[in-house]
Amino acid sequence: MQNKPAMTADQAKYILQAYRAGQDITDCPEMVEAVRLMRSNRDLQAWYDNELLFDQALSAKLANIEVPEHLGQSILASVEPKANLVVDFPWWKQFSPLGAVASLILVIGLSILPTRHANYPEVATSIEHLQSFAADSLKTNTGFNARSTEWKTLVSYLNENDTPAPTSLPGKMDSMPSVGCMTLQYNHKPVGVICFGKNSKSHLFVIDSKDFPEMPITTSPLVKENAFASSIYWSGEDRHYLLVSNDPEELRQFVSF
Amino acid sequence: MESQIGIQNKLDFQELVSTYYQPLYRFAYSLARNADEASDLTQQTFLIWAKKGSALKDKSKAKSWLFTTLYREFLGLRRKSTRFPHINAEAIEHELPSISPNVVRSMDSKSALEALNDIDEAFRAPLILFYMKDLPYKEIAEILEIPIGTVMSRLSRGKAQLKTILSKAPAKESDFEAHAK
Repeated sequence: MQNKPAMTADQAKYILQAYRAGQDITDCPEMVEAVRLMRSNRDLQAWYDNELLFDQALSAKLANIEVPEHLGQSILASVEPKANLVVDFPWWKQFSPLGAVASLILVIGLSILPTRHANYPEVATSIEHLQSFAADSLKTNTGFNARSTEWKTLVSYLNENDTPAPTSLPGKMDSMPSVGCMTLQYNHKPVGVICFGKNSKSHLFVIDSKDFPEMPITTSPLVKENAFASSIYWSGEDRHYLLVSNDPEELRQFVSF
Repeated sequence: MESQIGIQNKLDFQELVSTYYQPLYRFAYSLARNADEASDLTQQTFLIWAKKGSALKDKSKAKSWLFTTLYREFLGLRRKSTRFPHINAEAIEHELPSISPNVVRSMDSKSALEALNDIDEAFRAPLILFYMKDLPYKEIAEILEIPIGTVMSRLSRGKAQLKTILSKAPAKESDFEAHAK
């Protein structure tokens, strides 16, 4: 039986170039042997110690490379929304019988709210006009432009598509799961809609106050309710908001001003 | 249930970005020597993760996956072949140039990177990964998709080249730290 020749110091140096203390080397017999040799050879140990200092000095130089301050945030901003977003989701894939029933009840409910207008005019000047537009949109619209359970993701989508989006949400509404968003037009002016809640029972319509200068400005929310639907209208910054829902209980749970 | 998975994925992704974007950027910058290109490479790596990362079954391999992806992207940008010239693992450098660690300490980061940039490309990536702390040779082998013996060979030869370059070029002052400003 022939013995394997002993490792020389030069061979050990070659292998130790890749060694760092603390690494698991158990499955690399050559490395185990090189480390053993180093422990028993002062010259080799001194060489390695000097090598380690050289490595540490270079590592420190690499660690000094400055990373752009906002790189992490910009990665999250550019990647994360797209990871959660499905754009132009076909309507036949998003059909939910419960959701359809909920929408129907909401449209009926909105249509019999006390201040309802039969048709919305070309220029919205009142909450009722916007409410009628909302009811009509929910009745005729076939699907979301984008879907996400994160309302901020939907806000990003609306912003990217030059459509009004909420800058903040009242009460605990920002913890209410969103479903999707729509980009609509009212007299050629963009209207953003974000749908919330189980089976998409609540819908937030957002318009730009510059596009609808005659709409009332009110920071105190105006609430209208009947047995089937609720609507809340308010203004904030340069936006007007109309939140319609057929689940008043859910609205009360999440929305407070 | 679906939204809970979505939230968990989001948290995982945020954690992944916050854990690895800095070392990835440093790796990218060391390879590309350009801040914009390094940012693009880092961002592109996470974009690819967002599209394909879910296919990775063993999440403990995420780090290697990210570095490998970035390296491939870099090679793709450089239009280099991924097939490096084969280095004989038996080739041993008997005579490594002796150089004091103080030489490196007295250099600025730009000079150190310039020296790294002057070594053969086949040796450069393993050496950069080695000098980025906490990357053992096994992981370097995984990232670069080469055998462990080849990593050892390239580290040994790369260091020899680096020391030769450093021994010839005296350290010079530079305002490298301002590169990202």
